[in-house]
Amino acid sequence: MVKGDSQALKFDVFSLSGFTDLALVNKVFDIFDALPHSLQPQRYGPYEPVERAYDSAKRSELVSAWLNEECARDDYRPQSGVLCLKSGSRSKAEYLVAWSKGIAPRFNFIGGSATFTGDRHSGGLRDFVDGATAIVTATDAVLGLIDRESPETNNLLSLINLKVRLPEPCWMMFFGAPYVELFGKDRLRNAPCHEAVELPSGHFRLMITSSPHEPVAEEARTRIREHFGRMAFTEPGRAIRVQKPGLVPSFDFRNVL
Amino acid sequence: MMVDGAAHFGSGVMDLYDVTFSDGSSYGHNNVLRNAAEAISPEYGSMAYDLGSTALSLGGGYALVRQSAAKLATGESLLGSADVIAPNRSTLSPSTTRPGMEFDNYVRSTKLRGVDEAGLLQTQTQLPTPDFPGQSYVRPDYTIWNTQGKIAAIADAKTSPHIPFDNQARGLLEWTAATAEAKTLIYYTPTGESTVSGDLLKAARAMGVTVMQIGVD
Repeated sequence: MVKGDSQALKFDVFSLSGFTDLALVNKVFDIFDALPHSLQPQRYGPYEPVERAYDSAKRSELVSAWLNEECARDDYRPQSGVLCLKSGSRSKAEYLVAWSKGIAPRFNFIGGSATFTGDRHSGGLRDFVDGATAIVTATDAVLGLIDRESPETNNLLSLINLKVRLPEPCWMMFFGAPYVELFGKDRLRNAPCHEAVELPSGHFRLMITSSPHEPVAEEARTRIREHFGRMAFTEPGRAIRVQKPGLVPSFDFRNVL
Repeated sequence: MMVDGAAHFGSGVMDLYDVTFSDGSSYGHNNVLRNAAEAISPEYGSMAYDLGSTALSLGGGYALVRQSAAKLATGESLLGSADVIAPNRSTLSPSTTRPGMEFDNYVRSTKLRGVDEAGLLQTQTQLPTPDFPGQSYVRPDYTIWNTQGKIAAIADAKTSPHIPFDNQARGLLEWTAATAEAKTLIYYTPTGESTVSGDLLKAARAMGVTVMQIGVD
């Protein structure tokens, strides 16, 4: 990245852990609280405008907001929740937690985004990536993705449906237990990418290219697709909703039912 | 009349009372309600708990569609016919007088003219949101049905230069994820260049919904 340029990064973490588990919830708040100030949440709420002051000393209020207890009644427990968290700094760091339980289960989710400038906040980028990695571990994620945030990563073709296929290979990918079982450790270790590492949590982290500042080249994506099997990944140029299920792990949805 | 999987169009007019699918099901009022309920219940957990009121709401909204179809069947023009365009007061929001309503109607008469004339458009349908703090329902500006009696897409008209992730947006995302066949939430904006909240895009990724912005001018 050229000095003075800014770069927006995002992460998406998909998990099948129960997001109403207090230990998990507290672990994630511990991660937010350990971030450098520029990346820490300063405000939170269920949707915008996000106005409530984030006070790490008032953890119980934060946990209550995560669990959506405001909607609880004597005879009803909320079956879903969304929590938006925003920093107040130049990094424009934002996080969103979305969880649900239902008869049509979907993946619980934590997403984040932040903007970094080459001259002053380059250190923050590593903290952002480390934070995302910690969230992958804390939530025992099925899949984690870190990539540049740009219009082309938010278009019709970028929709993700893990029940059908993996999304396009992006800068950094974390594969959880279902994918480790599906692909095998050897294939993950030997992936044709800049770096493939097995984390202590058992996740595999694949850094497809050395830097997040440039889009992943199509040749690099193709190598990854061919290594793991084209049927495992979304078909380039086609919306996921019109694709037939490809190579998909056996997911355990019990915690989100 | 037997029509294979598609609504019948006679002289460009669809008669909602006179459409039968090849499997023997018809496209009458009750079927629309039943299909709406089926579209909602199997794909959604928390929102489906209040299915009764949803069906009621959809049913009320359907009265508008039925009325439109009746007018169309008699050859009366839908557009420009105030008594048809006028919303069903029993189900529509008091917000029909809110600022931006002119733009809503403009979108309806331009981008959505085709589906409106085909009787496949509902406006201001009330959708329950039991898990939203402080708000028990949202009202999308437009609910677009397909000819199979299922929701094709949910859409809102926005004149503001920024589309926030407010309670309305969150509700529309939830309902799009739960019911819309195309899993696409459409925003009609004057230029198609409104900025979209990062939280809205994150929530869309979480829920498996595509957010599409369409410029109207």
